[in-house]
Amino acid sequence: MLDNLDPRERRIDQPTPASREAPAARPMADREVPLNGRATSETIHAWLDGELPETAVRHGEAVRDVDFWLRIEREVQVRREMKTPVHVMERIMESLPSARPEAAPWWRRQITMSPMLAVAAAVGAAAIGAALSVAVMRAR
Amino acid sequence: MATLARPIPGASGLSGGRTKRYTSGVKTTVTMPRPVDPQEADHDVIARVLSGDRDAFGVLLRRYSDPLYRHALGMTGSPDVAEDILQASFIKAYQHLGEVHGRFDAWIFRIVANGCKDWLKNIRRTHLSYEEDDQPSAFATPDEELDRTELRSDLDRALAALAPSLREAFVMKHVEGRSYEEMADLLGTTVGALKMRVHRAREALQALLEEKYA
Repeated sequence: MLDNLDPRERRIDQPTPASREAPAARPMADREVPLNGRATSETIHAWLDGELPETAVRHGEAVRDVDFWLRIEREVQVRREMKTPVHVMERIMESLPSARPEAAPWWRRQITMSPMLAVAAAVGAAAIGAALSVAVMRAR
Repeated sequence: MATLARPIPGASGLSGGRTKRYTSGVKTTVTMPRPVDPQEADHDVIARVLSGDRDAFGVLLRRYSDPLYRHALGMTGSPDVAEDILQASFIKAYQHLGEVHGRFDAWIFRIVANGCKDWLKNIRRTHLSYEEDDQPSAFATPDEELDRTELRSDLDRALAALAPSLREAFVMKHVEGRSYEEMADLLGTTVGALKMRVHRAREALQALLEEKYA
């Protein structure tokens, strides 16, 4: 089927070109990487992943990257030490429903299949199948 | 030279026993103590709650709230929203506690992570700002604090510009200090895919921030 490109027949729920967001106003999609930056080298990634020591990457142009990430890490470190405010913990405990949580109904419970249970289930299914077969044969 | 690979003081992770590999690299994997009262397994605590001991739920809350709060804060950029998501998630967890199969920490993480994603879907923010008055400052002088405020604000904006999946990967790796293996376990994806996301997030952040900070 060919696309109808006539703007007069645009569906109401389709965005008009003018209403589309400017690229800068929306979050980047997963596969969008800004083109204006230098690619971070694999060795920098390896260092950031803890696979290389800093001394192995602090050479040449990479020094700039190392210093940049050390600065970012300093800020990230502050966030890493954040704790849940006490008043939030208290509020959560106070907000819990007074009714005790119910155990899941039997059809939503997890079944642990042991070898014995599997054999018993197989034997039972075979017996039911045989009984049904006999009943069908007799009915004929 | 700052040493970045050091254990997080007082941090309680979603799964204990992680170890760092290099002491001079940027810290991404850390040693975390097993949470409060390691003698009592999560499923024992859950059994107590299901039998009517409502206060026992506080054990689970104390055990897991900090990393989950950091996750919500990193994803939303707003302490108020992070608190609301945390509260809603724990209440939901309490109501459905009987349905927990397997690890409670992974289960409650998924609830919080989904809460964050739902919020991101519904709300578009142009500015994010942490208000950390009750959080410790790691900076000694007013000048450092001023620099830090600016960097914090810029980093918030840069994080907000990332796609949610990239932001999630960066926050889990760098803010929460998780290993790729643990991230893969919690998110139900592969280590390779997560490495790719973290690398893309770093490149995007560097592109957004390096002009000013490199």
